[in-house]
Amino acid sequence: MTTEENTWTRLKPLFRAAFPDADIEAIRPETTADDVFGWDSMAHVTLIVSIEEEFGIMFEPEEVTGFENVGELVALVGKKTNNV
Amino acid sequence: MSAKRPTTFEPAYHFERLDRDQLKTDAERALRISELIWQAAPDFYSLFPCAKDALLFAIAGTIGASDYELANTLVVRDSLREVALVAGTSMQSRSQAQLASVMLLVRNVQADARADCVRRVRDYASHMEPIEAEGHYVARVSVDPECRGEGLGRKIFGQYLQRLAPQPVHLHVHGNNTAAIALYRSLGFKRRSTTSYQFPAFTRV
Repeated sequence: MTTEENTWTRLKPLFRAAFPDADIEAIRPETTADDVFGWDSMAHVTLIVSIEEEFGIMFEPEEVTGFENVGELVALVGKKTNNV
Repeated sequence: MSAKRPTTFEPAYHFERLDRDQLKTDAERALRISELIWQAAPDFYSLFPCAKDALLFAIAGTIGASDYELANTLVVRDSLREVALVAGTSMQSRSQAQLASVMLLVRNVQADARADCVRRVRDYASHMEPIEAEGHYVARVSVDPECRGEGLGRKIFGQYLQRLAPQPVHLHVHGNNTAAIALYRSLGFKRRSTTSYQFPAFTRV
């Protein structure tokens, strides 16, 4: 399993919790917030805070909305986890 | 407990624009100012089920910080302490700044209480009239309860507006807050629309 796949495996339950009515299995690296049912700003907050706790990292303010799609989020999480 | 304010003479007021770096070295002052900020929106901050001290500490870290909605914070001090505050950010930064500010507060909420908290914040936000415009957004206006009725709100808001580059200025106010609405109207603010919201938006062009 690649690092990205490992990161995504750990992220999936967090996505399920943040977006309970969305089809998480349909998410791909190019998926954006607009593609995921229920991904509004408050669900985004829930997701990011849960990621911080799961991975032991902290997002800077500019990083909170600094990714275009799920792939970039996965990469950012991987990068921040490796830098801890 | 704060010292009793003198009542036999007009206090001298000093206006000061704050930045995060200066407050980092004065935690006590930062927390006093956080209390003023909390007083500006107690209904909002009560949406986060955690110790008030934790919220005040989180707020303190955002005063005068460019990434948050209190990026531009002006306080007025009398001889004893800060007694009033106006804070805001650019409309361009507002959305991201508010998200960052909410995140800071949600981090203090226990994981099992977060879903409810976020639901309440989402509901609260739904009662605010949308503002699609450029310019500046005033996020917090606060006058120490001991100092109300002395025209301090007008003094500090007037200073705040004078110090901004010429541009539209926007804010929200609770529809029942007649005193605040009267102040804002006297400063040139007008309702953006007649749509009924719990927190209507006002703009000063």
